[in-house]
Amino acid sequence: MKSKIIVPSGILFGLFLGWYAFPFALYKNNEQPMQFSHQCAECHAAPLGESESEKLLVETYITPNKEIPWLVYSRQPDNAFFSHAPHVTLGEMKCENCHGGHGTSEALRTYQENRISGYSRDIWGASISGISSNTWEGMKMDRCVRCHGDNGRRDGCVACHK
Amino acid sequence: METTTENKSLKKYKYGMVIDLDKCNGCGVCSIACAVENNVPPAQAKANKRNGISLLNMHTVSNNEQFPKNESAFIPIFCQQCEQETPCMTVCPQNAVDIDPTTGIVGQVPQRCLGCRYCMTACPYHARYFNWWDPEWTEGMKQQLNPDVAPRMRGVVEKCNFCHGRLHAAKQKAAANGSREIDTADYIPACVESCPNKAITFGDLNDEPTEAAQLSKNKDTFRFLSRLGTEPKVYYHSEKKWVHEMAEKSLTRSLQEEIHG
Amino acid sequence: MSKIITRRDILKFTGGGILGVMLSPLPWKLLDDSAIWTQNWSLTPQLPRGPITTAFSHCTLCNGGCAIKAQCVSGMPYFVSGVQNHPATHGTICPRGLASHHMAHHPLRIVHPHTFVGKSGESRMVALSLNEALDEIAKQMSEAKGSIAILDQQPGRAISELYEEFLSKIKNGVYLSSPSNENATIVALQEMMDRKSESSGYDFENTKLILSFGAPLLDGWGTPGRMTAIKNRKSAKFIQIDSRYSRTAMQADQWIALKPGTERILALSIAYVLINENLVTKQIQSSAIDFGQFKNIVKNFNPEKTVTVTDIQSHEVRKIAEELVTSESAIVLSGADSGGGPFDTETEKAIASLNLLIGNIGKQGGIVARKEIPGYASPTQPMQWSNIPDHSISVLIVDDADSGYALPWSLIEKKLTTEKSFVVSLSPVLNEISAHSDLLVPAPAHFESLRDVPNTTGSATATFALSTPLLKKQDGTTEPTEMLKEVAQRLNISLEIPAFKEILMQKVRAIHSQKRGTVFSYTDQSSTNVSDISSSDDLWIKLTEGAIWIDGTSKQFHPVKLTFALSTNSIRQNVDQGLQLIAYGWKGATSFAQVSPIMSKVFQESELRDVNGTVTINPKTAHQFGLSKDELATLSTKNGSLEVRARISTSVRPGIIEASIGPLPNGIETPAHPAGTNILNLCEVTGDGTWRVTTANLLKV
Repeated sequence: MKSKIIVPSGILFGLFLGWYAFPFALYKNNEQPMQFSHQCAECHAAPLGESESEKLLVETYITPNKEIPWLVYSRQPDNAFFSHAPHVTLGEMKCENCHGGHGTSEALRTYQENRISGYSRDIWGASISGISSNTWEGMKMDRCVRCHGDNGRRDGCVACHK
Repeated sequence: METTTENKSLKKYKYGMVIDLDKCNGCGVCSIACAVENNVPPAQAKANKRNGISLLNMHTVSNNEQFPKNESAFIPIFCQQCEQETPCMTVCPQNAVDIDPTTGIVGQVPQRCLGCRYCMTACPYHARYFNWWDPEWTEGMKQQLNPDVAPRMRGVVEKCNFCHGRLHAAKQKAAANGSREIDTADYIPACVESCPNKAITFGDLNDEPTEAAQLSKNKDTFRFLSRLGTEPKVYYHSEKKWVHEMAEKSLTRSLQEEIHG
Repeated sequence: MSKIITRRDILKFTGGGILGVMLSPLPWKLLDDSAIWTQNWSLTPQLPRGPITTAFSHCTLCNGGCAIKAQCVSGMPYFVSGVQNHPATHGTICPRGLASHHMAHHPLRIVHPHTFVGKSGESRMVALSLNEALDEIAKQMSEAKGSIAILDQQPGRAISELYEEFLSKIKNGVYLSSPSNENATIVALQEMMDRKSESSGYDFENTKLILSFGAPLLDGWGTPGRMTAIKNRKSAKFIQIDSRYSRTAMQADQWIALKPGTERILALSIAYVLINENLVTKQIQSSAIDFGQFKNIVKNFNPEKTVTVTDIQSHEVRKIAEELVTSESAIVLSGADSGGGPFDTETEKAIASLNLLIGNIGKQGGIVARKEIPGYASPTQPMQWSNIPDHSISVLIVDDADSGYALPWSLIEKKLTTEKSFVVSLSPVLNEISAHSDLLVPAPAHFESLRDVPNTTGSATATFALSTPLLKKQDGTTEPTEMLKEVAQRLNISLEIPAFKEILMQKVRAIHSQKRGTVFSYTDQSSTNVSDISSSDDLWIKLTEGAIWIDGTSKQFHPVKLTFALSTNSIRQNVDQGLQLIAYGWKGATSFAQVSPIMSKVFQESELRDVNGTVTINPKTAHQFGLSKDELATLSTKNGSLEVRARISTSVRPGIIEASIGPLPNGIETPAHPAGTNILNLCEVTGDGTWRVTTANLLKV
């Protein structure tokens, strides 16, 4: 009896490790340097002078003329060339296609940094399996290639690699 | 290969160069511009002309007449962008080399390369370079790298991609203006831009009225090792007969030097 | 009993666990992440990110003063190129200028005052405070027994005026410049015409014939873009008289290969033909005080006789002479190879005199007078090296500016007092002279501070531009003006030095108030008359954003009395029999300044330019000395010997050893042996600062 459950429980433990525990170990949670609401910004382009974040923005970044070190969810490696212009202007893609609901978000999500590669979790996708039905999840090369193929683009490697 | 509707509607470019060897004075600015543009690191202490990286390499040739009847010429050699049977592409086990069907540019993606150097053996022009060392710059020079070209790591092969970083920028600019076709003035490789003697003419060889297309058909224009049938897209121009004779030779020069010595 | 966990159970559980992990994405994800990690590890640098901007400035690495356009990322320049349609450079810059943005980040950069401790050869650098350094300079100056000299290799700048003022206020002040001067012919002519305090230039743009005695006109001379534009326009015929198959000889319409060291003889044999065939202008015969004496000297240089010395046939000499007078306009000029050293005074005068004989002075397409830039004083010529007694300089300050031409340490050493001499180097990068110095007070590096770019070499009209900083000034560096001011204060010399920016603003105000000339702006490629610019502040803004002021008016030469003042009539060659060593270099890359490490592409990773220790000989010479290609040999002169690698080429005259003074192989970054050290040490440097031909020997190792 016992010998019959040892192997499956081992397998279960392995599956638990790989599917559930591993993502916790792999990703580090980093908070954005300050909060920002895309939803509020839709109506209030000028600062209201109410929130903590606004104070922080003025004091830490605007007055000393420093760039805000945003943690970019979609940052790609140095050897990938991506430009919005061909995709948005020529390809007529919607922002939501790649960025999901980011444009209407109330608050900035926690940035989950991959401890090994250094990139955001969004690049691989929220699921550790890398499988998702959402178009805005997963920004690996196979996604680029598939979409380019679907739209009849036959480009060479250096069209997108720099 | 199946060509879909969109690719058909796109203009097909065939980028090429014609280098006027009679205008070249071997100043070396193209070589330096190439290295700066493409983030090629300075030479390591042990590097030499065989294992160093100079994507645009200048060779000096002589007519071997006795002083003062001697004449010299400089021949810039870099990826010749072979159109047919592209040797490096054919042999690459990694698919790290391909020809872009829309531009004709033989592209190399170093990050995909596994470093077997088969392509270097296959290249008849010795226009491919292997990274024997990690790239090294001083801390300050790292901040001065061209943001449009990724630096390569040790153990991979690299070559001239006709300044693909500049093509990206030109495409981006065109797209922002809603155009699929770039302005030719926006895409000029670094060597062409920097040549003080305007010895290099760059352009679309498919586009008949361009200067490059015209020059490539000039009677004094030739290609190196054309007998191999790889149809390079880099042409050379010289009105000197002895320079033309160089085109099919590879060993003669050094042999003659040995005999004279 | 069955509750006991056996070893077998643990193994089974582990096995199951591994199987479970294998069924999860963990291994594949790890593989993928580690692959990406290898692309991003610290061994491959990350690319800079940020806004891309364009900035304009001017390169001050030599006297060329080329306009540059810098592409910047986050304000940091990453690609430097020429400015299109620029009236002087025509969009061209040289390789050294293309990599000029690297100079501030050179591996041999120094950012704090340093001194050397220990015996020479094994000394080490020790940092000291600026105050200590300045006190030391003042102390050495007040204790100096010999003269106090400042070596400024780009004379005519605002700082040059301050140097001259400072030197005029102390006793034994000597103002020095590079021994090789691109304006050597003009200097010689001005002396012959007694117009030393005026400016002139070459009207290359309008000339039909350029007869150059060895000047590297098509290899970086002056403002390189200017010369290549004239060559490419084919508006002038280039005749290059050169003992080497130099880059200019290669590109010129005609190359006349004379024997090394015989330029004076060839020039005078051309003069012989001009006088003998009555091709000389009437005016010169009346205005030259010593024309009779000159004729007497020239009489000896019958081309039939000189052919054995110069190796130039008499019919060729005649042809040159005839071309000079039949050509609508012509310019004759001399020039040093950037590594080969200048001509001696007598040769300079002989070559310059051809201009007087054909009467091209003040004519279109000849040598023309130039107005001074408003706000700048009339230039004083730096002291000639031949006029400085040996071992007479006690304190020498070497400014950071570079001429692009070689400056052998042995020449400086010859002029320094044997005991207790003191050399201060202001170079921001460790170079040959700073390595020999006693004190380093590094100035800000190239593109780190505001500089003026007055009159580029040989320009026919006056020009003015600013080199605006593209990089942040490093803490610890000292502006030369600051250094001078502080030293003057310590020596109780009254010297009014306002902030350097204020000095330059004064110059711009002077330009604006005179309302002369036009300003070409780089940002919008437009030309504006100075008279249309409302205030001097507007002019200043234009100039700092990238623009060049070009004088609109020219100046007339008035007929003057002149003297040829030649003294030698010897047609004997100055050199002994045997092998002759001639050094050669490449402007800017073989001078006292360092080059960007990226220049290793042309020196080390290709054979385009030659490294130090490469000698080239004719196959006949090689055969005679039993040498074959790339063999090691010992090159020796009476100054020492050196192991060299022999290259064999038919482009070299038999009996001549051409030796490159380029950087050491694999050693652009080596501080101990900067460009030129070795070969130049073998050359025979004379007191008048020339080292053109040295008798040498070559032995197989």
